[in-house]
Amino acid sequence: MTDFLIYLATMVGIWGILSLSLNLQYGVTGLVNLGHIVFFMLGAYISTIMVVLAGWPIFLGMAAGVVAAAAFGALMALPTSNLQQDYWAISTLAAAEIVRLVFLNTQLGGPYSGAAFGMSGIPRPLRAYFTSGSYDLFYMVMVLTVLAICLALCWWVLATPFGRTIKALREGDHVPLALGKRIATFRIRSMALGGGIGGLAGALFAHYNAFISPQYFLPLETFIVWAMVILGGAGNFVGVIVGTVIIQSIYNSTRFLKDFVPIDQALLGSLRMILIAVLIILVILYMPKGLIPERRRRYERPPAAQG
Amino acid sequence: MNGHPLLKVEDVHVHFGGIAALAGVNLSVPEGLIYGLIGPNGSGKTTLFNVITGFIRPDRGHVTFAGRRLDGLSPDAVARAGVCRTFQSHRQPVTMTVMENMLLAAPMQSGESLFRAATRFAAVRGEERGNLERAYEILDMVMLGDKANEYAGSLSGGQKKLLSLAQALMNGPRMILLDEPVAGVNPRLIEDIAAIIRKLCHGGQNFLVVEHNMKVIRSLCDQVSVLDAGHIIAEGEPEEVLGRQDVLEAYLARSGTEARPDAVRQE
Repeated sequence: MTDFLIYLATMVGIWGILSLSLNLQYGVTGLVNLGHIVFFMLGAYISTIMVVLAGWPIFLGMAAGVVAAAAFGALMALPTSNLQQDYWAISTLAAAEIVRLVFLNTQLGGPYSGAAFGMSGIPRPLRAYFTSGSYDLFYMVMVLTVLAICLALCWWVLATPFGRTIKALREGDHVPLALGKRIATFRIRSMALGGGIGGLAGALFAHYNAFISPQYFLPLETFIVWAMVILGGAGNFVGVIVGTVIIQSIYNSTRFLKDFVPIDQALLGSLRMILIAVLIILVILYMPKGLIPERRRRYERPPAAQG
Repeated sequence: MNGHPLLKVEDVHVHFGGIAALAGVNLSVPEGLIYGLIGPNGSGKTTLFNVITGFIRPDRGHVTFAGRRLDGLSPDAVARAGVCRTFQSHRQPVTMTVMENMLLAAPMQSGESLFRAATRFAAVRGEERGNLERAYEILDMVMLGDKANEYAGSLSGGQKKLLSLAQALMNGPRMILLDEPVAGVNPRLIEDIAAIIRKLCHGGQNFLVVEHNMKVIRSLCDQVSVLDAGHIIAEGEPEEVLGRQDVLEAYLARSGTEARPDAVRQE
């Protein structure tokens, strides 16, 4: 039971970081990114390649994964920043699938590595300093610390004039344009920032799981992240973490429930997806702003402007 | 009143498919005025606004502002060149508060770069405080001071018009283009809005105004141009222009859903 909770908390941490990054792009900037998993995938793959194949130190490899994902985010926004929202959404889905198919068809480090075989033997950071029992606890603490740092970063970004401008973009280009904002650069930077944070989640996942394969990064995974954001409350960074806790708890419940519920595990696996779907429908119908709606930012009248 | 025109539109043509929305429009707006642009529905007023502000590229013709070519610039570059527009329909981000909308409008904010926001923390903070004070001053002037922390979506139609005017002021342009500043606004608020615009003009703010309400046009504008079917058919002082037979006919000839012949005649 404790092991399960540590595992669950680690998954919540990793996917929480991923949902923060989607919230930055969708919840704040209004970018309907249907290929969000691509950042997670790039963070995981680039970090693995740099560490396993190029022999880089683990944390440097993770940083490379973050940079690669951020760069890909900017790249996705560059040619597409003038597309209408629906066309843009489709292009993101395509971009993510293209990257996945490249990894699915590329051998990395030997005849039975990379491609559909995936990559195994990914080293875990600081492993030598812990016993096998305490390492999972350490990793959980590390992931949750990174989550907290990312949350603080997102809050800070939202409070800056940059954050205010990307928030305005979510309701259309006309007003920001008429006020002189270079909207394409804001979209590109929002995509890069969200991409980098998503890449960090992917790197943390790869070095925790010690194995990655293209199967982990199917379009379905993007929709799981979307479920977390919609359920928790788009625009509210704490909300999307709450959404992550709920979705991850349901998603991982089979591991735990199989000991208590006399249902076939495959059936249980399908039931949990139905449960997530029903939850999303209920939230959209009855709480369209999510469990924890976006907060209003108040600006008190400064003493110099007492009217 | 005299001297070089601040805004000059020369021989502007715009076609939508086979329809000529603007067919050789010339307009010359001097500095220091409230200049009115009127005309029946579909005459091309909003299209001309879109051409001036970069939202539509003209097929032919030039737009010059303070000696600088505007045609070919993107809308944001036009705004940075000193021409800020409002929109006929409400487009302000409604899930942002009135104050967030105002602060959004402040020009050249160094905190729009995350790098500078992180490295020049104190400077960005000082800039924010200055903008906040100015935003409250402007909001007080347009009677929205106590709505600062309300969502823009909760404002009435007239208040939204005032917010877009306030945003334009916050942007600090040399000329403000108002697209129907009093349409759909209750009569008492209309007088207030007109008074505010007049006061701002006395303070040196240039305006180009599209409006259907002829009473407001008469009382507000120093000069007007009349657009009909993509042509300027008259220009001059409002009283004189609105008394002209061809102007009257332009309105009468195309009495659509929002025909204003009565408004033209009314004294």
